Amino acid sequence: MSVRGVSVRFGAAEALASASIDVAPGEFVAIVGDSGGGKTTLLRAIGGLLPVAAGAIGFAEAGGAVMRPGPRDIGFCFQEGRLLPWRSVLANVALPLELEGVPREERLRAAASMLDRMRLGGVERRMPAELSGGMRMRVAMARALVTRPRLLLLDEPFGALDEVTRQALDDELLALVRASGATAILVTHSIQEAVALADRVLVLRGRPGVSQPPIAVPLAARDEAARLSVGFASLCAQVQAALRGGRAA
Amino acid sequence: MRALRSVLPPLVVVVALLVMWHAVVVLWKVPRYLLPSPLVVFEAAWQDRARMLAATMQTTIASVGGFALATAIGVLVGSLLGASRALQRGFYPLALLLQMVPLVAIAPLLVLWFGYGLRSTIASACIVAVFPVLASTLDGLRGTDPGLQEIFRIHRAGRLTRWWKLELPSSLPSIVTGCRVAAGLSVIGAVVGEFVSGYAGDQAPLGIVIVSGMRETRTDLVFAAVALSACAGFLLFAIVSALGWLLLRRWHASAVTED
Amino acid sequence: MRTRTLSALVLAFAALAGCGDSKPAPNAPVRLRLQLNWVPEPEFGGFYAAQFDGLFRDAGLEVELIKDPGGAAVPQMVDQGVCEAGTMSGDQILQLREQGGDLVAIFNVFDHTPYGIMMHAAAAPATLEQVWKGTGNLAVETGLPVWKYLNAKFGKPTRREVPYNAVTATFLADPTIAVQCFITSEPVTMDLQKVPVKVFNAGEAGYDPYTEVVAVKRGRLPDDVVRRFAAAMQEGWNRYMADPAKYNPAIAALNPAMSLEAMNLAAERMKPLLRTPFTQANGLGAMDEARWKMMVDTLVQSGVVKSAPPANSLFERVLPAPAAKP
Repeated sequence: MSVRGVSVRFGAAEALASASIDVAPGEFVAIVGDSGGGKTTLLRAIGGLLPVAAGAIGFAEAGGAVMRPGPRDIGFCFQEGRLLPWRSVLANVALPLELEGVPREERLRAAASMLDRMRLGGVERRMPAELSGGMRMRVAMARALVTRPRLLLLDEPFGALDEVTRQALDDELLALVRASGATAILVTHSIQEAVALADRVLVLRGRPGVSQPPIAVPLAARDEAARLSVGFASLCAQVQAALRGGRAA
Repeated sequence: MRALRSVLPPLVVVVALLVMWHAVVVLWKVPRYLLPSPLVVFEAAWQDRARMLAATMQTTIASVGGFALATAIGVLVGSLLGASRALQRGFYPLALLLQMVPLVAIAPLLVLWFGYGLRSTIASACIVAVFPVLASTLDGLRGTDPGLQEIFRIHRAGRLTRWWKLELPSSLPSIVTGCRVAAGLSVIGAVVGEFVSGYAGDQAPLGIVIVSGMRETRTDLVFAAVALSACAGFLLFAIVSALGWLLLRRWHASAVTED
Repeated sequence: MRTRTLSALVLAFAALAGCGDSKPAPNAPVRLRLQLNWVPEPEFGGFYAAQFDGLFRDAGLEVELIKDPGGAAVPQMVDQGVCEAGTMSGDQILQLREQGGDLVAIFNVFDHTPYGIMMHAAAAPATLEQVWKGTGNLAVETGLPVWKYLNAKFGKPTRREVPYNAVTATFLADPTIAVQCFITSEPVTMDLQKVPVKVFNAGEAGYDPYTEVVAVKRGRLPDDVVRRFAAAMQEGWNRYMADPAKYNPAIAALNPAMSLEAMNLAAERMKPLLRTPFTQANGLGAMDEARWKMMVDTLVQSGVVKSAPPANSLFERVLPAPAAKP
């Protein structure tokens, strides 16, 4: 997927000044930036939810053929989870398939197996209101992945959770993404989270944001120990510097 | 035990009011045509119990019919108006106007259009009950979570799918509230309609019992019929509330925390 | 068109809240509110004649004629003191007595009941009983004793009893319907519209009570006030019956809904019901105890009332003795 000089406006206000990055299939990219700088806007533009004012977003197959991603190909995960409160967990996870027209038996089976894989097998019949915040987010992730999308877009999914839960979910997310082979783009305001999960970090500096050259995260291991390593800290500093730019540190 | 705790306070209040009422009648020597004591009212109802029971049945049937119709129309029209700003601006004021017109004035028109008997009674019950349902449906639809709207938009769901699978379930708590109001109103509408459309005779509904009682200066009969129609209204309200609780109990705060 | 329903309850509470009379200054005219139970029409012609000719004033009375577009609970209002006198049907006095009231009739208008059943001439059978046993709708005021009497006499009607409401429109739209009618009202309307009708008089079926009397609360007004009042009313009715056309324009002015032509026709139709051998002998407005007894007995028999007070407790003879015939 390529993003070239994309800018987005909301009426007279420019939400995103300019963003450019090429994303390889299977890559995990994190977007960080000041609040209001346009990271969510960029994500939504990539997802086709917003029109771009200038620039272009293109999708190409591995062989080079241009494609247009349909709803099946992209999975969204939002901070609020956005589960339908009157439906059970199982019905919620099956929703994307249901809206595609997949027959009932098939879609419920797919949803159930997705939940199993995420070790959420026991909560199929429960209602979202009965679950904790962390569980709800995992159900939301299950829903995002149930169509086996090639591109996963996550907008600060764990922002509302406590630190411990968040790290656990980060690990789970990484494992899921790696297992499915999907490309993932994660928006976050936590530099630590960005460095912990991503292969590359895209920094949007300023308001409206301008993208800086992506910072590579060459960490082999992504476990607890890795997070405490010096390499990790220096990468975080690097991202921080890119974010602050010319201003005094 | 919990049921007893919720029933006892209103019951005590009702009994206290009845006692006060009886005391007023006795102490002030109020003539029967002006204010019959509750004992007199009860005796009048008991003596005529077959007729009163039949009348209550008739009025209840008309109320339920009118309520069901009002719910269907209210939800459908409310959904239509909710779908289009233009339609809303054009027709909402008209719907409001419908509610303002005094039922007593249009009831004779209903008889001309629908004939005597159950049809015009159901119509008048429906007219009174439809607006709360319509307004609450519209309100519920307007309050649909935009985040959820977006999920449906992402998956390219059609208008009808969106209405059926998202907006309507999401509006259910609001609609239930509107229906609870409409339930009691439908009884009032039925009784007022019966004033001008009800058949007299053995199957005379409560409205006719009231009108006839007024003519005969039998205030006790009038009170008895009014009390019975209040009971019918209360019963309908209770049933609608229970249905609402059943529908919402697993997911909505209003039902989950209700006593 | 004629109902005695609806606002009784509200009125009753209003009356309970505030009733009371003020003592007038001596020698000042006595204030008397006469509440009518319908709008100004020939059925009240004599009262208006007395008013317009100043007969009440001459008798030292300041009488206010209060009209009612429908729904006033007149008997209750008189009993509660909202007004000093009111027009009502004789059976209402009896019914109110059972419910705790105490009114007495002091003057009567119709010597024979003006109520009847009206049908389109083409559909009308020979007798009232056949009407009862016919098919179609029957629009009457449920609860009126006369219909209860007929139900008891002929058996429950095989017709469907529907409310008496918007009668003219309903009658014109339905060729087989039988509707309650009042002599000065529905038949007159139909005649003026050239619609052929047949009217069955309810009294001829055997129940002929006094259906329009003036009643007061027993003991509220001093005797001589009542006498002067009744005498003035009698003279008013004498004048009205002698020449209704003289007074009808003024009445029509008070009631734009009824045309002068209709009023004149109605007044003519009324005459045989007022000018009867009994009233020739005893004067307009006089009442016969036997008729009151007949009413009491019939109502007890039909189950309309439970107890039978003595007939002479329901009315008072307050009219002047008839002038000797020349």
